[in-house]
Amino acid sequence: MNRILYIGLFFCFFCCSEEKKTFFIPENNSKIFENKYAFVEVDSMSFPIDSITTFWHYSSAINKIDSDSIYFYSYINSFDHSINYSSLDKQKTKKIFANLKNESKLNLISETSTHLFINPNQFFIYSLDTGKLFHIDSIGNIKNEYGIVDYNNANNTSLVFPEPSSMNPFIKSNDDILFSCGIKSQIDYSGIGMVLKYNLKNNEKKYILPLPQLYNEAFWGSPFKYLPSFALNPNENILAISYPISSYVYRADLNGNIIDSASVGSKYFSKIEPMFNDVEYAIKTDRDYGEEDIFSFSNSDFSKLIYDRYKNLYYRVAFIRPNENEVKIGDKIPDFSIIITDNNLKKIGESKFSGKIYDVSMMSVTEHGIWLPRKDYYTLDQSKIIFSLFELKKI
Amino acid sequence: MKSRIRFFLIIFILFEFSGCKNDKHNEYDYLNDTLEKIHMSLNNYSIILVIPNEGCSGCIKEATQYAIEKVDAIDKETTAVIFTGIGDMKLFKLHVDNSFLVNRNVFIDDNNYFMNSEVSSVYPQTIKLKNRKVISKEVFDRSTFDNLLLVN
Repeated sequence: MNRILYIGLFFCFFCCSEEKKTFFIPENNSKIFENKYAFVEVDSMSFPIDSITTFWHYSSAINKIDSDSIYFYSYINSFDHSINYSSLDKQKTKKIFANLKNESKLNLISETSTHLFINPNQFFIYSLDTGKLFHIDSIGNIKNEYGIVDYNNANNTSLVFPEPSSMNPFIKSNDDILFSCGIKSQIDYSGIGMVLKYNLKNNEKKYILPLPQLYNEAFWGSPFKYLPSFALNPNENILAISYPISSYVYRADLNGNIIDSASVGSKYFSKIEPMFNDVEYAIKTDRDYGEEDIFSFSNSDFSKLIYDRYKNLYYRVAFIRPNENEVKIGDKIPDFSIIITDNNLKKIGESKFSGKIYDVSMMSVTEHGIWLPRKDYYTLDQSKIIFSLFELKKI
Repeated sequence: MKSRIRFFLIIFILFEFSGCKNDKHNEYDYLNDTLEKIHMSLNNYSIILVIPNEGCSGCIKEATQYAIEKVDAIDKETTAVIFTGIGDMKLFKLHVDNSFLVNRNVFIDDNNYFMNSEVSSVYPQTIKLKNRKVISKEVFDRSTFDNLLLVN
């Protein structure tokens, strides 16, 4: 009897408790670093919004027109399908209704459209629904149209698709447009470029910068765990890229050749665990998306990467996520920290923010510092969006 | 030894069975508690349509449109609508007119009790109650809901 019991217990233990792989983040440049800088709130800025404009925008940014030294806040309003912008000094919002409709007469400025504000006379709009990029002028006329993704082509076997947003905006570098891409579930991610470089002059497409090998070693959860964020240093033409489940930031040239990399971690979490050790879970037909959500929203990770061209620094967002029980009761909103590094990816500071107060997806950087919109103020007064300005201060 | 093994096997099987039955029972109890937390009158209704703010967007739009179409036709004493997961009320009111929201059988789950994973769903849900007890929960379907309205 004892023998049967022990054998049974042995099998139970062996079968039921496969240990999850754990990837520890190197302590150097995450917990151990020269803490020289922190973000300190110094000012705020208020933008009035009309009755059909709400707080959150899938695509929004604060941009500076260098030649005029004027800042503009711009966003897409999917409710009335317009691009809106206002300058910081004038505060009056201008609306542009682009003449964009597809064959079904559906407006292409939708909930998932993103924009790039060049100046008040020209914008780029990417329609995720149709895979098209539009260059429009100040009154909404289409100057040029580019086919980025052909969803209707049955021969299109592409595994990656551009998925820009405020969190991962598309950018322009001379004649190239660069997009961060999402990827269809795979069991082998080797060699699949996650940044699309599209040339506006010759329409050439090139996918560069594949996911790191870590992605082939396990299943990491919801699709956003596979979405990279990149930042361009325009002075040196260097692309830095960050992946949600890797502590490493990679730098590459504009052809995707890796120059160097460094582990840039957060002092708020020391490891990253996959959802399942088995990478092949990704292609199972009976995936439990509810469980994936719970796992993904309760495991900390990395997100937005920004290059501050005014200070020659990088900012990497780390999401400090609630625990599983909190997510299960509906509390999914994470706090976040902004990791500050110098141009060589050496960590020099980290500041934590409440996710209930600030929205990091709409964060912008100007020469004054970083701007974060306030959710708490919007709850009190829905006629304006207030941004807090944080300056980088020496500790 | 054989009798001991048989004994443990029976205990195991009984345990498994009672677990299965308990799960559904607990879920419906939890639903009753959730409804009461939102508003104490909700357990008095016979049919409740719960519409999340995030999830299957086509399903959510359809359920919302259905509720708006039917609001004047349905019995406000027996049928209720609950909206849950609303982050931005201004945004929500752009899509759902206030004239619909002021109906006494339309509720907003301000504290997002229905976002708890015990009861949440990415799909709109139809909950049936009898004698203040939840007796079923299923994904909303227009024609099924129409039939329920006829019966009630």
